[in-house]
Amino acid sequence: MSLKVLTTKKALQTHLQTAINKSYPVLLITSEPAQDEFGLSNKAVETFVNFSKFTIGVQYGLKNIHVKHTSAYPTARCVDEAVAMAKRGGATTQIIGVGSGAAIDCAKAVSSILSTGDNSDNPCHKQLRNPQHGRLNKDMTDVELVLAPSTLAGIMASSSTSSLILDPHEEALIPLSCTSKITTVAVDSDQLTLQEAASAIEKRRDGRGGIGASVQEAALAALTICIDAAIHSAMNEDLENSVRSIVCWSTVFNFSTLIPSD
Amino acid sequence: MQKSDIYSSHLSGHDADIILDVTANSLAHVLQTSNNCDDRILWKSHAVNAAIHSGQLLRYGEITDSQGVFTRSMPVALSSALLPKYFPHGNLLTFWAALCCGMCKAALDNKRTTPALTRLSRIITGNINASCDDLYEWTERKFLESNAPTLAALTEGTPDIKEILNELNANQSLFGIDDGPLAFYMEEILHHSLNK
Repeated sequence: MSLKVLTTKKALQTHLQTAINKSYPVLLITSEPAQDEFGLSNKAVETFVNFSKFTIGVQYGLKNIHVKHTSAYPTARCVDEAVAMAKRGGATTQIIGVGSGAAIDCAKAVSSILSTGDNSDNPCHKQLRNPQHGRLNKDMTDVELVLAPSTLAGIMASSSTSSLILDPHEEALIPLSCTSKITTVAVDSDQLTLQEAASAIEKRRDGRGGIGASVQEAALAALTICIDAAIHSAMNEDLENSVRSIVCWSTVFNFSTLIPSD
Repeated sequence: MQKSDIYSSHLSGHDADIILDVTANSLAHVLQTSNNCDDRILWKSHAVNAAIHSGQLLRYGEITDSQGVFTRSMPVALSSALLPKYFPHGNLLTFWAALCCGMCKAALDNKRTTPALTRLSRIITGNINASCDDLYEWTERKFLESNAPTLAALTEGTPDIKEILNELNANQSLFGIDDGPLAFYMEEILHHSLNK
C-alpha cells in the first residue's frame, strides 16, 4: 500500500480535480454524527461533511452513491451493505471516505474488499472470520481510495494499516488489513475544527468520554502509541540479541565438534 | 481465526525510529504550548502531524512472508479486547489517552531504558539529560493538565481486574496471536490506569 498525504489548502478539491475520473461514479461514505446520550451532536463534523458533500456532488459534479455512517464503529454488516451498494451502482473503483474515524475505517474496509474482487455474499463478515478469505486472488483490482478525515481520530485511522471493525457478538474490535494499492489522505487544516480540552469537558458534563477526543487527548493517545513503539523496539532488540546468542552458541558447538578428541 | 499474510508494507526499524521522533516532536509541541498560544496555525499543524505519524506506528498483528510474525501494539490489543465491552463511554483516542501514564509506569518498572525510550524522553521533555523517570513525571503532569478522563471514569460500574485480564487472554485466542511478554506489560498498565 502506498500512502499519499496532502496537507495543503483545499487538498481534497485539488486531488478531485486531478485524480478522480468523472466518467465513473464514486462511492461516498460519510459520517452522520448521531446525538449522544446528552442530546448533543458533533456540529464540526456535520459542517465538514456537508461542505465535502457539496464539493464532491455540486462543485465537481461527481456522480456518487452515498452511504451514511452513524455508529461509533463500523460493523461487518454496514461494510457489507456499502459493498453491495457500490456493486449495484457500479462505483467499485473510486471510493471517498469523509468524516470521523468510523467513516474512514469503513471506507478503508470497503476498498479492501472491492480491491480483492470478492463476489461472495457478506464478504466482510467472512474476512473477519478468515482474513485470507477472497484475498488469494492474484489479480487485485486497482481501487482509488481518497480519505478526507474531519477529526484527529479520523486522521490517525487514515494513516494506519488496518481498519477496526466492531464484532457485536464477540464485543471486540477486529482489525481488517487495508489492501488498497493507493490511498490518498487529504487534510485541510483550515477546514479542520479541533476540539479543545475546555469545550470537550463542557460537553462531557459528567467527566466521561462523550463526543470526540480533544486535541490534548489525541496528543496523549499519540504519546501512548510512541511509548508502545519504544517498548516494541526494545523487545525486537532482545529478540535480535537472543538470535545472535543462539547463532554464537551454535558456532561454538560446531567448532567444538571439530576438535579431535584424545 | 487465522492471521492475515496480505499486508506486507510494515515499517522497517529505521523508518519506525524516524517516525517515532517526528511524532514525539509534534505531540510535545501540542502539549507544551497552551491552547491560546500565539501561533495557532503551527499548533494545529503539529496536532495533525502527531495524528498522521502515530497512526503509522500502530501494529495490528499482521504477518509478512519475509519478516515473520509481528506482535500487535498494546493500545490496539487493549482496545480490541476491552473498549466495546468494559469502556462503552470512551472513544478510541480518549481510551488510549487514559493509558499513557500506565504505559510509562510499566516501562519504568521493567527498567526498559532502551535507546528509543531514552530518545523519546529527551524529545518529549525537552531536556537532553532526561530519563524514563522524567518522562513519567512529565506525562502525569500533562495528563492532569489536559483534564482527560481516567480509565476508571470510562468504565461502566466497577469491573473486576481478573475478568478484564481473562477477556484479554480470550481476545488473543480469538485472533490466534500470542502477545507474549506484552501480556505482562498490559496487566501492569491496566492495574496502574484503573487505580488512578
